[in-house]
Amino acid sequence: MPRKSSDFMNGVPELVILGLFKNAQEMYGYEVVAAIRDNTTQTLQMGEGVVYPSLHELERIGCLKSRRQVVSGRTRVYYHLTPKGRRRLIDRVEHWQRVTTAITQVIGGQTDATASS
Amino acid sequence: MPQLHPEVEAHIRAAARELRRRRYARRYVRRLTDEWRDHACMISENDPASIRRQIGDLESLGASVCQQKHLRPIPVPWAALFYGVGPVVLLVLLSIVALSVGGIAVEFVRSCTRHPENDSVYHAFVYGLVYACWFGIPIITTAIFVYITIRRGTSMLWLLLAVFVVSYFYLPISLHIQDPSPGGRPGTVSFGSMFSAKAYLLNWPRLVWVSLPLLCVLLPFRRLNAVFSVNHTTE
Repeated sequence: MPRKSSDFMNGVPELVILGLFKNAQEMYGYEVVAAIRDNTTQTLQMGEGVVYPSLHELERIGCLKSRRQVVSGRTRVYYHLTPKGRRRLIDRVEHWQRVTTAITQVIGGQTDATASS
Repeated sequence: MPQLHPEVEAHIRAAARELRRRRYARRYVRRLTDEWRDHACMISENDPASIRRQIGDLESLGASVCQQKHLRPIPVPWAALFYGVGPVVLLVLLSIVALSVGGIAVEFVRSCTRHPENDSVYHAFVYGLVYACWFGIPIITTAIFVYITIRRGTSMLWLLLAVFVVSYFYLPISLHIQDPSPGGRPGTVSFGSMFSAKAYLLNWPRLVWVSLPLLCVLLPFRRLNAVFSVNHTTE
């Protein structure tokens, strides 16, 4: 059964976070927030209120795993990608590419129609 | 080590209290607050004049955590005592304790009146002291387990462990199990049996007999916990 568009929109933070973890050994919350901001040249600005719950949800479903470490006297939670997370990332990327291709076709068609009129 | 601004620290504590009020598991709240503190410190390290931003970020973070549907509150054990099968568990526990205490009282009076060694006041005193230790330790242990269950919000397993302790120490004596000392009579407890605690505890058939009902309760309970609770603390 194909996913609804709302599912896709809800999955954007998840896709971005999983994508970040693909190239990183492990990251903690603040690092993820900063990496999203930096890697998207501030186009995407996901607040902490989105990133942390997404991290927790990804951990809950087994895509991420966490470990706690004391750093400078305070506890830091490091996350890393699991094999299940890698599979989910591949699935999400494929889905993303299908949707963006479809949207590009629609937008391209509309642009052509506007130009011809 | 950067110190959090008192206002930020107070805000984190307030947010944690709010999550606890919403019945989030204590371990999960502790983990969240650890993350918030670390996050706030990192902001502070990178931008020392960002106290207001710290508070704003934490507010949005706290609010979103409370609103996330997939992060449902985990029922804490003390709440489970008052919902679902909780009252039944509580009732059974209290009944066991009440019956045991009654059994202890009856046994104590019997022993004091029947045993020839209790003729003198000294022996009665020593006998009472041994009784107090014998039954006091499980009572205190049970109280500690219940306290931990309620205050620390760990697991209902603690309560079941308390039931086990009560059953193992109290019920066999309350039910007039035969005196393990040589020549002991049913319904009586002598000094010999009091000091043969090791033999009593290492009586494996009795241990199995007491443990089996506990295991029968424990196993499905753990499965139910897994079904009905969301595990946020997999670290």
